[in-house]
Amino acid sequence: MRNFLFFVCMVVFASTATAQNTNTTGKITDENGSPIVGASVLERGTRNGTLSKNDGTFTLSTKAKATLVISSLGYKSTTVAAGSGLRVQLQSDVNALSEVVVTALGISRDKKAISYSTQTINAESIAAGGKSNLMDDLSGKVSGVQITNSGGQAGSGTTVVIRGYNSLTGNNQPLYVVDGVPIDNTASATNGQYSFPSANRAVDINPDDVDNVTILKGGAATALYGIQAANGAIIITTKKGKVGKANIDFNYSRSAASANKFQDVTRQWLRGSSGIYTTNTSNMWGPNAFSNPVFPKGSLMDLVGDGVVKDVTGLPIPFYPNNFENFYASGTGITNRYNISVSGASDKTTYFTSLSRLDQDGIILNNRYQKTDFMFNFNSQITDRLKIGAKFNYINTGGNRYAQDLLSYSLLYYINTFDIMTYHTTNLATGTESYWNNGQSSAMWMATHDGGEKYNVNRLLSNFDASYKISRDLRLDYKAGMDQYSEGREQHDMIGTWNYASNNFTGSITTGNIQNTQLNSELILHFDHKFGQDFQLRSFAGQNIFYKKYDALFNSGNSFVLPNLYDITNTQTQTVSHGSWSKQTLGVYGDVQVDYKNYLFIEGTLREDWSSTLPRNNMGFTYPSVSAGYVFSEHIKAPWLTYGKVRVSYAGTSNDAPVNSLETSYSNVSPAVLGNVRFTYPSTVGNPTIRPESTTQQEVGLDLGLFKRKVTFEAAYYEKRSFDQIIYAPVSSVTGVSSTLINLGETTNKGIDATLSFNNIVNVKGFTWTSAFNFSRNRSMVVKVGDNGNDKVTLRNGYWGTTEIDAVKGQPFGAIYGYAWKRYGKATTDADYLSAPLLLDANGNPSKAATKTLLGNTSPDFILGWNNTMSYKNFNFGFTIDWKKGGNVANDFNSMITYSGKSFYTDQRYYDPTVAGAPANVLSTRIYSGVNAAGQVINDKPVQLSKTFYTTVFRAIDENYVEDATWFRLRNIYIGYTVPDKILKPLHIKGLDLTFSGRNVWLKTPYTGVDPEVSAGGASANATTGMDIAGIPSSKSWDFSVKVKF
Amino acid sequence: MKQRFKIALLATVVSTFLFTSCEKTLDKMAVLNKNENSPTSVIPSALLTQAELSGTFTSQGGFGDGPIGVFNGHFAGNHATGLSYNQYQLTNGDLAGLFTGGYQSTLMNLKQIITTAQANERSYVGIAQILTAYQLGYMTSIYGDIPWSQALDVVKFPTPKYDAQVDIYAAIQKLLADGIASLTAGASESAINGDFLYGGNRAKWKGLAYMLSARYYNHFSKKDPAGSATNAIAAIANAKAAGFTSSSADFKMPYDGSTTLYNPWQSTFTNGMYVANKAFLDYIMADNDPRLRAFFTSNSGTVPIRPAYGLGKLQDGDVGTGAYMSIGDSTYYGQKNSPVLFATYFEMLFIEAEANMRAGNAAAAATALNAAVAAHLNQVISFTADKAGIPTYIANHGAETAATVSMAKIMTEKYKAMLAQEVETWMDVKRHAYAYPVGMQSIPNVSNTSASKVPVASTYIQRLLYTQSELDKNGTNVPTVTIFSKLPILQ
Repeated sequence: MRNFLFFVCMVVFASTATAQNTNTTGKITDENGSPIVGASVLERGTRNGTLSKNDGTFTLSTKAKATLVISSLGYKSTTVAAGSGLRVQLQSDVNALSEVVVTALGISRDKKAISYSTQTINAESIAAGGKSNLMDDLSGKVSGVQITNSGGQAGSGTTVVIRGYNSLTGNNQPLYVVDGVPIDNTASATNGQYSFPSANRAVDINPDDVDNVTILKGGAATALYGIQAANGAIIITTKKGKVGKANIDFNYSRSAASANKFQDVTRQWLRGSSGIYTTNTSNMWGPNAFSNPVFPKGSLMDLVGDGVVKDVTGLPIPFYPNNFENFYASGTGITNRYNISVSGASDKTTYFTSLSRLDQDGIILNNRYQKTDFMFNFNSQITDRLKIGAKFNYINTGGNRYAQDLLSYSLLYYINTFDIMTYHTTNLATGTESYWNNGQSSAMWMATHDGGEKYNVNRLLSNFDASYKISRDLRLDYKAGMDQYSEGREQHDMIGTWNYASNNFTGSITTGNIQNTQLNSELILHFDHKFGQDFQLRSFAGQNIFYKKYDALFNSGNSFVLPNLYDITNTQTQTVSHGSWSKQTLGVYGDVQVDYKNYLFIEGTLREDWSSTLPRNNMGFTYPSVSAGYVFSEHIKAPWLTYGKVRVSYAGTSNDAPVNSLETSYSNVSPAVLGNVRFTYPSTVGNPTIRPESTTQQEVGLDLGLFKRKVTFEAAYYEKRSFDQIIYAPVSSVTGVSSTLINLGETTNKGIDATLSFNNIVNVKGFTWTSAFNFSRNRSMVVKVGDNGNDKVTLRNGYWGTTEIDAVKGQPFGAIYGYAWKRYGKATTDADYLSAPLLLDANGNPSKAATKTLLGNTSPDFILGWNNTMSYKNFNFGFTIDWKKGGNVANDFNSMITYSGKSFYTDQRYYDPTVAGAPANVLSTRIYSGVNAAGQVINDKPVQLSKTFYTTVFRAIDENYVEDATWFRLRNIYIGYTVPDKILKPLHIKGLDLTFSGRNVWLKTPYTGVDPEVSAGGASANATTGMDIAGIPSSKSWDFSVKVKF
Repeated sequence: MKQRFKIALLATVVSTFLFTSCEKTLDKMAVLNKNENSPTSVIPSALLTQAELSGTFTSQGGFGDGPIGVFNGHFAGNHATGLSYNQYQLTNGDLAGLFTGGYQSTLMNLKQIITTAQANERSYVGIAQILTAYQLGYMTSIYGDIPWSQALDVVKFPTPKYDAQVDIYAAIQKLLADGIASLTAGASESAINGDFLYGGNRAKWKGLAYMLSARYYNHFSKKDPAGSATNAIAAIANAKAAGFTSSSADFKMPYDGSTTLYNPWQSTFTNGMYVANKAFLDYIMADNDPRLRAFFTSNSGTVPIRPAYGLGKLQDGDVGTGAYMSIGDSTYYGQKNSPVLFATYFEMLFIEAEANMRAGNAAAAATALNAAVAAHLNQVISFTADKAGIPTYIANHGAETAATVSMAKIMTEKYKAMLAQEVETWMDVKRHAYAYPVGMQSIPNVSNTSASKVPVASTYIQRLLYTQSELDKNGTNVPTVTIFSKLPILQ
């Protein structure tokens, strides 16, 4: 056997050694005489060939009378006789799609040949986004995708949902694949005590390393990825070295960010009650700030935060109405990014290496994010048959971030008598935080006393791949990848910090350690064959092994023993939580694609997976996909129709069960009490008969290229049905558990995504303009969420108010329910309840309805992005406008600040004039028009806008806080200048680009809170958007960058 | 032919090998799905600790008893939902934790102890039975009909029916008797671990079982005045015989003030949601009750809210100023390490007084009342200055005779002593149709944006509403009630 292999190898090597005896040289250009880089030059009838260099030239040793076949993607191939000093001009081929897309499993395909929806965004387009987070840079540039950032803190994550939410309670985020290897995208938002805007791990990818990103939207596109890609896939391909001289690229950019929008508030009322200043409350129901109020007799306080309590009787009460805004401008917001890459290739080996560094200061003081990224890849043609490649990517990210809930808590109560910017010193008498309000810690204290969470992630992405060409038609590919990271976290409140959880000043600390390892192995055998002149077969069969281990250990300690020692061992009580699991899947799959005369394409795939999370006797499950495309422009000829294709596809995808869901296991309750370890029966019982959940998806699409591809249009209509969804179906708590895990849920999503591009639509005197529209519209419907008449699963509750975001049978995903005003003549269950007249009492007072009603839905009507790039001589200019129409957000934060007298709603007030000392002339009333119980119109009874009215009546009406979250924004705008070659040549510089850009610089929305794009749910797998609890502003930034190529 | 046979043989061998190795691989994979952090079975002591630190045992005190204390007139809501409770504005969502926590964490874990305990773990079973009885008694006092016979079995009964309240009480008495029997059977077992409430003291658990038996018999004062009295008196005799003879036998949560064992009244105090009810505070101050400082705090300074001495809040719809006296944090009840009382010796004496009064034995009633008043005063008063007031108070309220004792006196003294044990107090005032304490109860007022304050209702609140989650998930079984529907045993 070994001898046989040796023999095979000898034959293989021998065949490469053919006689070569003449040197052919030449230059390849397009119709305009511009050099074509990377064109293929092949001696006909042999495997002898090369690629043209950067200036279009090539050198090849050939037989004397050889014929050369010269081809390049997007051009018609041509043949020339070998010789020296050849000049070859290639004609562009408008019929060919000059696009090769990376599909599932890293397989490259001519876009023409695939019949499902994909969209590719190239490096230039990503770079124009100018942000530190790759996914954010895609906003507005893709269709069918909803991208939501989780807030304005540096280093926060991003939620991506492709074609609507599939899963009610499971994962809804797509699979991220980098260079053919799936990477982990976990976001763990909580440290067990507070919640942090933690990043999903896809943010680790360096945007500068990315060559292109392809979004696989439909089921047929992702079916081959198996269970991991049930929600679509984002395929990231990193840059590779290109044939030619080594390139050295250096980029530097500096940007300045600031908060882009704040919650609307009232700015005229001081602390107090009934219009009278008092320290008995932290709420703003006191005197008007502009009525020259003074501190009452006997007022003792530390007014400036210097730690000394003084008698301030008779002094004017200071007023700091802009504490919110000042706090969110306390950081510099400056980001510096450096990136250097060296790439190149010999004739057999390409390499690319880069080093980048990002230093980001948030808009909040000491909110930082740093990232260092080192990447190296090489690909080498070892022999004519064997190609290998390897990649090594080390990423370190870290920084300091704040718990959203603590910021929000602190700011909404913050008393405007104190200046948040300076009021954060230690009280000299007590040694504790010089608190502005008993029982509330100041956000600025946290920022200035190291109260943020420090985190550090070390991540290594590495892969190895090999490809062996067995024969002309057969190729064996193997790829192994590893994604490993460890994250350390530490957050402490020093002694003297007010702690909400334990109501003391003794300090606390939480440390965490997360370890994640993910291995992926892929073996694929390709068979491509041309049958006669008309049929081309492309097929492959493969096998996949995936393994993942996750381990998170958190320790919380309370009450430090020694000061200034921030270690878990230095605390009086500790709480430990540990979550670890592992899983493995095996898969085998096959793909057959046949094309007939290059205009009819049919493809079928089949995959079987076995997952460790399923019952042992039922581990495997199968799902197919079929797709077909017809290039009708081959038969329907019209002068304007350059290219036209219709396509249809059908796919089934599946998802396995959550880990450890088969058994019922008791949960440890930490901490132990007085040495007694505690265990509790879990809130969900295991289900040993759980089955995988399924989604079927149909899609029809149309691709058009008009007027020689000046105008291109791609659109798809899809229908998805997800059923047998594994959900935690809520059950009566009397059963002793809160939910059962069953295959029950069903949702549908129907929608359209479309891209309309005008390529060089204006092209006069050196001015070109390319414009593209990306449109996404998705309609979801919850078909079933429970049995026994349970038609609702609550996905998220309001923190302050009583709104909830639900999956409700018969409603689109993300229905917002809450209390409305009591109305006349309609039941709260009526669809048009909100249009009925208010039911008022005899005094004209409105009141709260008895039961909750449907107040809105978080799903937008559509998202439209308009993307423009222009160039004129050495200048280029572009902008992206993004429009999200419809969709509601529940402004939970505004509900709370109505209570504390800060909301804009409370601008107008009524203070009871009979209370001694109450201010005069604060007697605002409002007339509600409605009807009484007999249906008679009442519209002349003024209601006193008292504190009691606002805090107990108005605020209890969730309807007041559900707002239209439509927005219109200038996502991105840039102007760039490319320094001409004649200036650079003497300096030995190949290229120099200067770009000035702005991100998110203009926003128009009726929403009264912070940027409605913010997802308070963070970037976790099932992140439900549409509940604005924490209200941390998003940011806008201006960015200057320099790119130098040596 | 030979060649073909070889190929077929090879194919068979290879496929058999592949199949078996595949099966082995899948077997190995299945092992990965074992929960690494959580066991599928545990020892009873670990469940016992958790059961004792959940449900009613942690919801009593603070935000569980606070709102119900508003209905009893001990407290008044000061802001937010406190104002809603002031005005009887309750929704099905309110205080849902009292219900869900009771079933999900307490009763479910207790059931696990009872069903999985080994033959030599009868003592754990006994404790679990007594705790189950207590938990059921607590919930039926609030809700009346509750699920039990079909509860805690999601596979068999995903939508459990609601049992009639009398059946719940029957189940309670049986559980208490079974608990005593189990403890007796387990008398020679090894030491009981994880018992946080009585430290594994079997005698104390048995005494408690008798005391609770008395309490729950006494709940039937309306339906069966004579029988309930006889049964209660008999049970009290058993309790005393079993050693339930002083406050050292009290069933209570021994908070130690650490972050894990923190008296929940602290939170209501720092939050300022529930403060002293003006009517009750004025009453005890006018009476020079020496327990004033044991009941309500009057200090000021660095505590989060600054109660003004003597200031109580009206039970109405107005947002207060925050400057009211409150239960924390220098009182008997509201300090970080104050115990929360569940069932006490002084309560048993009050039950003895009431049952004897009802049974027509005034002398015994007077004796029990006097003992109860003295026991309570001596238990809760800690300031030396206040102790000086004890004799006067006892002379006025704790020196009754067969001739002077009355149900009004018994229930009024019990009302004062049972501050903070609001569910039992609520049962007391409801059983006596809000007649006692005399003159301290009134229908709360609402003052909204209107000029004049108007009563919120014409009758007193009788119960909490069943939780919204029950209406959603078990709607067909949930009895239809309003907050004014009397509990079945009080009808």
